Amino acid sequence: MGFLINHHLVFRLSRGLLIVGVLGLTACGRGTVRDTPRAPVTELSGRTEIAPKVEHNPVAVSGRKNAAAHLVRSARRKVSAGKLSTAAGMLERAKNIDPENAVIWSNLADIRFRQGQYRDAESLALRSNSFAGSDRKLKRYNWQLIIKARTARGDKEGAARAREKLRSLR
Amino acid sequence: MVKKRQRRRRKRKLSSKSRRLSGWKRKSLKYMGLLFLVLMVPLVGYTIYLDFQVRANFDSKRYAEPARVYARPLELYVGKTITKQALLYELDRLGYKLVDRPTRSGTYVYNDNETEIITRRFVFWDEEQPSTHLKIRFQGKYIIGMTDGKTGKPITKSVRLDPLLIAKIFPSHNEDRILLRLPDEKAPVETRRAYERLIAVLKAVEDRDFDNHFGISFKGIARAIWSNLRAGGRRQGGSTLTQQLAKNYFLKPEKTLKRKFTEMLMAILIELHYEKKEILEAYLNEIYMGQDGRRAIHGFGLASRFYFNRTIEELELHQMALLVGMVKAPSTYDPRRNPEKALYRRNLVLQVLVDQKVIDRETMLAEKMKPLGVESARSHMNQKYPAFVDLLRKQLRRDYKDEDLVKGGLQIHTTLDPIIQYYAESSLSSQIELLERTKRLKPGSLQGALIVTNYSDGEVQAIVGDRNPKYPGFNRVLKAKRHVGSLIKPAVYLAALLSDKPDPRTGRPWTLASLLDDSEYVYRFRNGDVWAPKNYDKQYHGDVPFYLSLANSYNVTTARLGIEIGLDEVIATIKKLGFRRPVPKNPSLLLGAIEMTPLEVTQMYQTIANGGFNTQLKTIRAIMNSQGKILTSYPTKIERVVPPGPVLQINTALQYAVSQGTGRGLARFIPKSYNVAGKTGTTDDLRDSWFAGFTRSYLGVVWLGMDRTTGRRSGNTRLTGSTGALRVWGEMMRKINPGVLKLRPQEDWGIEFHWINPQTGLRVTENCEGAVQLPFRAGTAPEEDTSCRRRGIFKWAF
Repeated sequence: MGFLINHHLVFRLSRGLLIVGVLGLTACGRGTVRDTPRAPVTELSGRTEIAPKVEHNPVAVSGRKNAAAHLVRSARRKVSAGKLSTAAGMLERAKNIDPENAVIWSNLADIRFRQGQYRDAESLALRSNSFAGSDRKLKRYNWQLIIKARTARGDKEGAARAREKLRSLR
Repeated sequence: MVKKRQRRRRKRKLSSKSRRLSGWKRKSLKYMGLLFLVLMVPLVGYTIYLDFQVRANFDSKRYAEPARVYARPLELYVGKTITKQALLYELDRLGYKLVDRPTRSGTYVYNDNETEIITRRFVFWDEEQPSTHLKIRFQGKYIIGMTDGKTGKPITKSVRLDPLLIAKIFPSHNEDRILLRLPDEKAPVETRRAYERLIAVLKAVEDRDFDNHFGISFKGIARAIWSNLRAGGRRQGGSTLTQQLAKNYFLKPEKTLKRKFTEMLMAILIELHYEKKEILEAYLNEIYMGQDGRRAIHGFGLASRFYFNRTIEELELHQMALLVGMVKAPSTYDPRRNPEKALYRRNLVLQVLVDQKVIDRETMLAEKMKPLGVESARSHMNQKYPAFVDLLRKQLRRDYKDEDLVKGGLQIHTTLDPIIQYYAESSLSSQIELLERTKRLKPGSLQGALIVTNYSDGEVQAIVGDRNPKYPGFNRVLKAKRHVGSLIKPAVYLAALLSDKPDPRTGRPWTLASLLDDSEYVYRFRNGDVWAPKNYDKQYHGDVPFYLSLANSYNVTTARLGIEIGLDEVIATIKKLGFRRPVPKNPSLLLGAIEMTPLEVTQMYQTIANGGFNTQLKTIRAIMNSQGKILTSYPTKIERVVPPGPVLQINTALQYAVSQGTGRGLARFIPKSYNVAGKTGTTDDLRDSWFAGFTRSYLGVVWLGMDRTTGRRSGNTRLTGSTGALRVWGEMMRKINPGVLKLRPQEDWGIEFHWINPQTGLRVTENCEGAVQLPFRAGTAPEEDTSCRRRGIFKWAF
């Protein structure tokens, strides 16, 4: 009798173990399907490693240029449609993406000039020049804008100085 | 004949009778007329009054929406420097749902390789950002690939997420709502469908004849009476949506016959004046949907956000059913407080929808199985940025009156970056706690404040005004006026580079290589008093080159230099850099005996970081009205105040301060190859610990100190700029991801680079031992030191 009971117990135990085993395997299987446990990130804790220098990755660099260029093109369309504030908003975005892009600063200067904000136009053109590097054409354009802005403000002396700068660039 | 006579008689009789009657009638008519007048005048008057009320309410409440303040939207594009963690954090903040497979806007999923998001549509000040299905790949700390989730094509432009709502500016009566506008044909299909569905549910439950009645529905009343009789009690009301809207315009809820009559009259008036679509829109925005403390939740737009953290477009059918079901009694069916009642009500509504043939049985059964899906109140209630909002309000007051801000549901788009703000807050709090422990300071005694800007356009990205950043108390960034110590020194050295007064030793203009005398110095005032500044290390260092004197923050050399070029010139330079208050004309000014707030320090360092362009700090990008039109935009305002050459020279010296000088400790946080420029500041008795510095894109100013500084020895933090504030700055900037700072002079700045020997300040060749390369203004290069070159060659040859 005792033997029988034991036999029965063994059978039940092994069946239980089998079920547990299968469940365990299924669980493991599930675990491998998903690479990491996913959860919303509600805190930004943990030690952050320093970023690799983005300047060294050509894909990242051209990605930025593309994103900014896209906005510059949209802004130009808005300018031709007469929507200057909207265009300026787009250029401000472009500038945040590619802050040392002299063309974006120059475009902003241009819009400020069209809006009659001559002082801002001049400052932005100067800022553009500070990023222009060897782009003499852009620098000339900016100086021409500065001349126009100073003239419009009645600053003849300043305009004359700007003209000199422009001549030195030819 | 007889007949004729008879008729005539009868006629006469009649007429006489009528005459008799008319006499009576005239009298009664007179009374009736009077009575009528007595009754009608007020009724007509009342109707006119109501009419006025209805129109006033309808037109004003239509736009009674608090001003909403938004953070900057996160721009996503290939090459964007952002960690996956940070993106996921932003998504969580915005209430995006983590799902298995994103199918609706406002959902996302991620794994090790890819993050997939369906963004929400949002109308920005410049253009609309449509909902976009994105797949994003990261490499290291930036986005390396972005494709369209549907087509698989690469996306090369920038896609903006919707901005985080960070604050609301309320009208006095604390009614909160998110104004909805019924979509027109131009709206996306998704949006139109969602609204159609919501309205169908609403009509089916609350007012089936809405499209046909004139404000009152007799059919509806009859149906209500019938159902109430059958149920033996008051179960259903016969009020139309228009009547309910009218009811909502009254502040006090009361159930009297007079009130019912007024409601009906108002409903008819509303229907006379406005189209069905306008009424529906007003209803969706006006109806009371619950209470959140003092804040009354009005309208479906806010209710949807408040209970589910979703927009109308994102609502599932069962969620719409619950919201519509709640209209009857928002507190009874509040899903957070009474989830069982809410569930019962929701399922009842779903049943009604089947009865009304709005949905089929299968849909109903499937929807009934779903849980309520209510968000905990947490996620959108703890987004508090008191210090930032404080500065924002200050700037808003320049252009807007307080009452104008709460009128028309303005949208204020700000520059706050929630990710940077997070790093700023956590770095400040954790470092303060750590410093208190290691320096054995009284727990809770050390305070701090910091500000991070994007210096190229002056956008304020983060502000912390207290070690407990959510505490809306004393905002130290704006209000703590503290001595700045050595933070003032760049202004002194810049003044020297700008000065016409030559270096008396050489008779030539000041350069980074000019040698400064660091030996005992005593300044005698006219009244006989003396001022004898000492170095922090209590040592004298002999002749020190200009750039290292600034980098090592020597006091004695700085004092001599400042006195040599004159206090007036130094003061003028401080003002040029952007400090607006009066500057005390005292030699101790040269070592920072001047009080500034962290904000004022930031304004000054903006000019230095931005190559001599004074850049107005701004917290606002644009303000839009509720129709999405720009009211005010805040473009970048810069002005060249200092020529770029000297600023570049100062910035070079500030880079040396980090690589070799008092800011050396930063290397623990950020590698030297990132060329960070910065300056430490420490004041007497270690009361203030400052660090101001900039990376490729960001300027950060950190202050640590104690609020109480009166009394001897009190307020001593046991911290210098480099052992205190610098650490907060370092931890924060390392998380923000500094870019490599490159100072690039333009050819017309007249800057030349030369190798010099720091010991002699003389020009040498590159291969000379210990030679450093420094920028000089054209024509100011020091004389050549031939001895060094000979020695170099000698060494090399033998």
